[in-house]
Amino acid sequence: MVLGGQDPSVPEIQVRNLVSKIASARLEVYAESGHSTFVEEAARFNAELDRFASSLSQVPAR
Amino acid sequence: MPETDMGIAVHGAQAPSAPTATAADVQPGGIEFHQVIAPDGVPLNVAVAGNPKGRALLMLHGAYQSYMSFIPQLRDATLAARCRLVAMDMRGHGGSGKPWKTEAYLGSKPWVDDAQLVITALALNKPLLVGWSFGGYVAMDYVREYGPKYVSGVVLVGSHGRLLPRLASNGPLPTGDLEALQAGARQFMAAMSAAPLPQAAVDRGYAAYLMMPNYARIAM
Repeated sequence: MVLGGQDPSVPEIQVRNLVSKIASARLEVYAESGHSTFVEEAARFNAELDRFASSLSQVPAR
Repeated sequence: MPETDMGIAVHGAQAPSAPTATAADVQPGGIEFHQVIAPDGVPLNVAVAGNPKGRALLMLHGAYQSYMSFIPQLRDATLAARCRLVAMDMRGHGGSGKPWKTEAYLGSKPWVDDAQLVITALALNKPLLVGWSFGGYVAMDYVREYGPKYVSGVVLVGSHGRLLPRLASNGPLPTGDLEALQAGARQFMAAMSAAPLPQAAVDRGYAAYLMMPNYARIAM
């Protein structure tokens, strides 16, 4: 999950609580961004997306 | 059919239409556009960029927006070199069809079926779903409907994927007042970010907002 620290539409505390209960979930908070993290901090987002996508390539097909 | 290096379709159903563009039609590094027709006749506009042999990403935009939200991803050189980047316009949105009957938007089924159709028609092999806001709802609804086997993961961006209660939406329903719609679009875009977005991004979002007819906005 990717969340902007300044995004009023998604409550960060509840999301943190949610992510803590899902073993395979990870949260990245973009402290300075609002609802459009992937536009506001596109370079960071794209790099993290690339890394995440690459990590999935290691998972054998089910 | 365009070149599909992954070969196999991930779903047994036959796509009702073949994508219309081929990789040969576009400039290197550009975005190509496919049209896929949903079973209820709604044409879906699908933007495709990047490496056809790369990991497939299916990006789902937010309410009242379009594939253009993901221009910063579709045009990212590193992502494009390593991933097959697919961003679909959801029904009622952007360059996709805008059915005028409420049933076409009701519940999660039409949205997740459209996503599955795009996955099948473009032979996306276990794509990573990237859902922004309402698109995150669709991504999680997709997994709820089809199970996790057709996707390799989900990225929820500014979205809890309906794992939390939806915040009450406020504001009156839109009317035929197009000046009010313009004002609504400006307010909507102003609320999208902490600091103002680049003007090009605002323009793209504003255009997408106005492209959505009110009947679709109300029905979804």
